[in-house]
Amino acid sequence: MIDQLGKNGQLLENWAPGNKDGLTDFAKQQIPANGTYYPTGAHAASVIVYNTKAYDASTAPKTWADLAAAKFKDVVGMADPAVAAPAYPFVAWFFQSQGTEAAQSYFTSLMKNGLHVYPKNPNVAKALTGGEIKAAALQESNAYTLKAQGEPVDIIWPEEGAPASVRVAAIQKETDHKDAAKAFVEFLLDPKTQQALIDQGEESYFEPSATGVTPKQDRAANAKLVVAEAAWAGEHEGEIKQWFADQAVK
Amino acid sequence: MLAILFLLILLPLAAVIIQVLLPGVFFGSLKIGDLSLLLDVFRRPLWYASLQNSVYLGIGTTLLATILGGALATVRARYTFATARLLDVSIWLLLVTPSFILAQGWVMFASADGLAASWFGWSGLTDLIFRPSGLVLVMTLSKFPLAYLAIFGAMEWRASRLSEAARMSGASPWTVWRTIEAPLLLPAICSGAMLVFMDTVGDFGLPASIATVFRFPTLPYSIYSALYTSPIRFDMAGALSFYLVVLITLAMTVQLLVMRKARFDVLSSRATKREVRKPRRGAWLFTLSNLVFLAVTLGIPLGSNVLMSVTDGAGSGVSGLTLTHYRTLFSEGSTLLSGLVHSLELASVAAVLSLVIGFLVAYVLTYSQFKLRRTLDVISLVSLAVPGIVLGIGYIFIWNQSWLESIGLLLYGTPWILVLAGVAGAIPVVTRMISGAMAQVPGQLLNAAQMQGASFHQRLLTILAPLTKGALLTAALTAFGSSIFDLAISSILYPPNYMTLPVVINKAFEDLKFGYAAAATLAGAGLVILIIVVLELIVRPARKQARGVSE
Repeated sequence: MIDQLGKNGQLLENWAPGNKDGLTDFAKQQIPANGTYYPTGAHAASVIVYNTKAYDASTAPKTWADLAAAKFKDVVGMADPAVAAPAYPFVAWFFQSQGTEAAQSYFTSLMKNGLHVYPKNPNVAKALTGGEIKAAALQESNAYTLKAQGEPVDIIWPEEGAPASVRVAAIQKETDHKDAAKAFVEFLLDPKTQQALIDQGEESYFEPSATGVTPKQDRAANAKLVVAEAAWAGEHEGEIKQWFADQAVK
Repeated sequence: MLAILFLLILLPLAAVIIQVLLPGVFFGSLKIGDLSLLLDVFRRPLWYASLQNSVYLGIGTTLLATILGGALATVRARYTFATARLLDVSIWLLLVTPSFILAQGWVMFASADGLAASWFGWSGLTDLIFRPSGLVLVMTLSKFPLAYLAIFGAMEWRASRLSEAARMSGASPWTVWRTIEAPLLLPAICSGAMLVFMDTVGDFGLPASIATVFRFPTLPYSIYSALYTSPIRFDMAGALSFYLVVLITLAMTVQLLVMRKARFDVLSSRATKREVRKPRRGAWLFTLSNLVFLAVTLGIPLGSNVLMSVTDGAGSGVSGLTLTHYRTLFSEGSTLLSGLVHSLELASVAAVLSLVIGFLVAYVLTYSQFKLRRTLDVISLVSLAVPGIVLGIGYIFIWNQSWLESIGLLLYGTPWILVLAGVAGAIPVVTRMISGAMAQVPGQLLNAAQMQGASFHQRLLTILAPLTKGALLTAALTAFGSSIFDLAISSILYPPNYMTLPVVINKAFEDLKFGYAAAATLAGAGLVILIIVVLELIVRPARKQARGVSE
């Protein structure tokens, strides 16, 4: 979305914040060539979460493909990419990395396997603790919050990676307050700000974009984020969401 | 006057339809629309499901609610029993309670870990309610008052001579009912059914609330989703709105055809007012079933809200009693407080504006010989039939055109668009209330004043307004109350950083903060009721005095 705005010339171009070089390699990869936006952090749009009353570490699903397995029939849930903001990057990664056909057949197999699609991630979390489903592709801060609340769930970071939702900061081209906007972006990219967000913020489970910031202690050390290319995801957003919505309604 | 109504009501509606034919026209490009988008409703599974669900919900609810409303009205028109007044009050309460609040109550009650399951152990209820036929039931319980009031109104008077003549000729009571009384009620039943259908297919509150636990896309909900996902698809929202308008037009046509077949003006001076009597036996049965019925229709949704607002969650039981939710409502920087203030501001301005416009329209309808009187009346009625969600989209098409910016009228994204939409929604009701009161003020009074040299302005302010003061107040308060709780229009049109009360409540509900949403609902509704009561108390006594002087 933001990438499309940048391409349409609606964002301030070619401005580099002071901490540009202090960003992580993952964050640097996300910066577009015209420098219209900068990542402030990234979090897993989905990790695998399971109810520990139903499975243990050995029986729980471990890869995305596992979710389509016959033994998880009718017990898997996820959020609707057309409604929940983080669910689109999750779906988009499959479409870009595996190709449209493979991705379509993956999600079709999930749906044939009785996938529950909920409007947003909190609904998925509720269904997971309420017993309606036993495993889910759930956004990471929702997942860790459940665990912190003492709910019987555990989190798995698939080895192939968890599709990420990257948060970015951009400046409107025509704004009357360019200096204030630039100062705010600098503030967001400042390691101290990001550390404060992690230590005291409400949505504290994410991978910081600045180096020298420590993520939450209980966030898995092997957390591997993968991401669909922003330009590609933006271009195909409409058709992918439409395809998903049409399949889910069947 | 005509221009104002045209701008507020007809233009947005026309815009929705024009936009389907010429999609770019409101965004600065002229091209003939791809009409295949309209046919997509039969190709795209999501759209087709939305259309099917809307039709199913509409027809199912219309049938069930008309039967239920008709049966209740029949009983209530004949008998009086211990708790009959309570039924009357509850019907009005259901009528004014927004559907999203009722539906939220049902979700809190019947969802998998809701009150029914955790307090009473009724886990089977979830599957019973959250299926299409269950939703028809929930919808019926919130829409039947429309049918009840329409049919009850027609039952107050009866042409008993006709029935008596039939009885004398040997017809059984059943035959009399079937061949005389029921056909005489047909117009009332039809208009009741019509009101239920229009209100149901256009309803946004129920599908929006149900969506948190059960996937049931309807046309209004899919229109909303088309606007609220990126990329935004105005064209799709327009195409779906088109079908919503088609459904409502179809229903109106059916009603017109039915009504045209016969004349129904059978009430003559011989008609008698129906006598309401106590049932001969089994009075307790009436009372009991009435109480049970009210406990389900009103008790479940409102009770669930009350209960959720004071507990930690459905499962916590009595030990979880808490006032935390209310405390967060009024804590500093709360979104509810700012939403409430916004809604109060918007509704006050909308109430005053619709009062002024409604007063003038009613004046024209009652006293003038204006040629287009009929047209005026029809336009104000149209806005009653157009669902809020369609009106909202029309408002985006009209008020979001870039050329408006140069004359400072780019109202989309400002609170003013909500005020205008609120006025448009309130005008039909306000106009009708005021014309009712004006009908009792003879035109001679105004003519006499005119002869004495009173200006138009003076006549309105010193004669008409004081004499219709009571109705004016009721009309203004109705406009105020209805625009405060309009979820559909404010969900579509609320400006950034300007959330309104229903939007705040619905967002909290979507995020599953049931306790907070319930507390916000009750606090908001409580405050609105308080304001209405206080205004009534301040203005009413003054009216009595004024009348005393004039006599």
